[in-house]
Amino acid sequence: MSDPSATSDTAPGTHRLRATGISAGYGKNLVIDELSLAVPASRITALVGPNACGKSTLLKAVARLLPIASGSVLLDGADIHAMPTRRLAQRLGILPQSPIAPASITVGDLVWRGRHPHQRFGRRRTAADETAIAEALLATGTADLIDRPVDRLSGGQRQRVWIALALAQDTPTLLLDEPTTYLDIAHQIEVMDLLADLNRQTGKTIVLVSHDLNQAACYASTIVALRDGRIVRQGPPEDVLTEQTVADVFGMSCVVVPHPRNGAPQIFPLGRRDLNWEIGSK
Amino acid sequence: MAVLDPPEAGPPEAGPPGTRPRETSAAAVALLLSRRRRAQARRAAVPAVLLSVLLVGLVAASLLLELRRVPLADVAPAALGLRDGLADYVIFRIRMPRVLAAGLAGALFGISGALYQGLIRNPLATPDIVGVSAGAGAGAITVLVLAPTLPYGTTLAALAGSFLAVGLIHALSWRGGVDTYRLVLVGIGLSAVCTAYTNYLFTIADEHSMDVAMRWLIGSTAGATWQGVRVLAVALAVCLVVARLLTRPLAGIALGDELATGLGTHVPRARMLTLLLGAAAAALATSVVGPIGFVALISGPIAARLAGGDRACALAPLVGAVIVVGADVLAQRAPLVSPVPTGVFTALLGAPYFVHLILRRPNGAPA
Repeated sequence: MSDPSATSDTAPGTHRLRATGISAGYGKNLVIDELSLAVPASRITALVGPNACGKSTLLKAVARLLPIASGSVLLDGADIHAMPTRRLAQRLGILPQSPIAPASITVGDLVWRGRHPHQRFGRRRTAADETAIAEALLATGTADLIDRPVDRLSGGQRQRVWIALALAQDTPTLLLDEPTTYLDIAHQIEVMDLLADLNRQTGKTIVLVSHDLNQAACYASTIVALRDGRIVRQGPPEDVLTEQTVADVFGMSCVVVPHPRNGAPQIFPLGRRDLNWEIGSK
Repeated sequence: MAVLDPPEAGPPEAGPPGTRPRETSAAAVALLLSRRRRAQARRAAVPAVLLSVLLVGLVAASLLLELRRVPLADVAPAALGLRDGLADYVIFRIRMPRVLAAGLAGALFGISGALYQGLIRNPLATPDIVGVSAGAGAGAITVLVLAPTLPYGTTLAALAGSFLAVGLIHALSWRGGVDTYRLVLVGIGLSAVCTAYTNYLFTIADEHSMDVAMRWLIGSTAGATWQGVRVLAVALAVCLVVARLLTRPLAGIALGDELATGLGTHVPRARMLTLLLGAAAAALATSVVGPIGFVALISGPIAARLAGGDRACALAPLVGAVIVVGADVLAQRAPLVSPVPTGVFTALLGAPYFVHLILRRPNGAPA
């Protein structure tokens, strides 16, 4: 498997979430098999890989949305499978790929549901709840939308509202499954900027599944590349996003060029025409 | 309001991206939120109060309309237990259990429908539509025909029948999630099986028990007894408490099973509890007043329209009670047609709504 020293920029013992030898899947069909992953604390980690490589399965397994057939998942040293559901929800938030907004629910009411894990039965909501919701709304720029029905919002606004819900949950660790899918490029960058701000300002540990290697390289400090349910390579973007690894993981040729502003490795895929042209023009 | 971005490419910061949140402090927004919450609670109280007033009016109408030879002056003494006689007999032996059974059963139907609609995220998925009530009916008729003297026999058999139906529905239509059309189809199939079974029972039943079973099957509050009222009262009290416990899990499940789990809901447990509770509510109401149709179907959506989706489960019992008591008053007193079974009027209200749900475009369902 991958080089363990790849995440050497983080001191040992600062892994918030650690999966060891986990296997998980749907029914009898195991999508990930004996996989181990350590997520550095207070960093952004991006899971990348081709379709059906197991990145969403991995995310769900470490959030206990899927049962694991073997192995263990530790959150801050505690086994998540021995934790009461509500306790886990106070420490680990997950935003799945396609959450459902109930018909005509308003932004305020939706974000409020993020406080569920902190509620006790029969208690009214507290000032702490109000503050957490207010901060989540402000951080995501959705405070002006409180009374708007979620189903009338634009895609970008809606995604920010879902992230607000996850923020209201107020967990030190947040997992997001393709938070930028279905958004246009400006909204994608907006969401990624928001996550980067959160990470920087609050030290939140963020793990996200992404299809966009270039964005992952710009925003994540660790990239985990998966293929066929196994980790092919993990580490800082410049170590993982090489022509060789991209070829191994995606079966695709590319050119890697540093980003003109931030120096992060950027992928330019090479199609058949580009390959021919390269040969012909030389 | 629908147009959020300017139609043509405006300045780059137009629209949501990059719009800087105004310099608002968290405290100010929190204050706004708590004010808004209180306003919402006040607004939600209005339909509850209005429905309660309406319910009291309907109950009074049911008790006091067309008293004919009962002198009104006797009503108050009879209520205080001071005088026996016609007023006591008509109002407290005949009419009172009937109207109480109607109200309590209506509340139970209402809560059963709202629970299922909330859980399955579809207004079509109520116990009467998915076949749970048919299972309860088959159970009740089995006892009515085969063992009519069993104490609480119909009640227990209706419960058993509904739980069996829930088990079958769960096994046949739950594949990770639920496909509503499969659910409704399973319900139709289950109802057909139950009808065939009851028809078979009728062929072996003696004349008297057949008569009782037929009258029950039509669904009417006319035969309600104080024993039935007691059963319903206990059932409603238990259902209201458990449904209150399920409010938050159901609010989570409304966001999808995965997010609900992420927010700390034990989804399989909450789902099973909701399925059984809704089935029990529908079965117990059915065991006393018979299968009064469509109340479970329409109570939840009406409650949601009046008080907002979040509070549908809380208001649905009141809506159901108003519908059944109102339908019962009409069934007894409506000119020209009365007396007819209560279910006739709930069907007049509910059947068009059911057709509307079926006919609207499938992807118009709440996403």
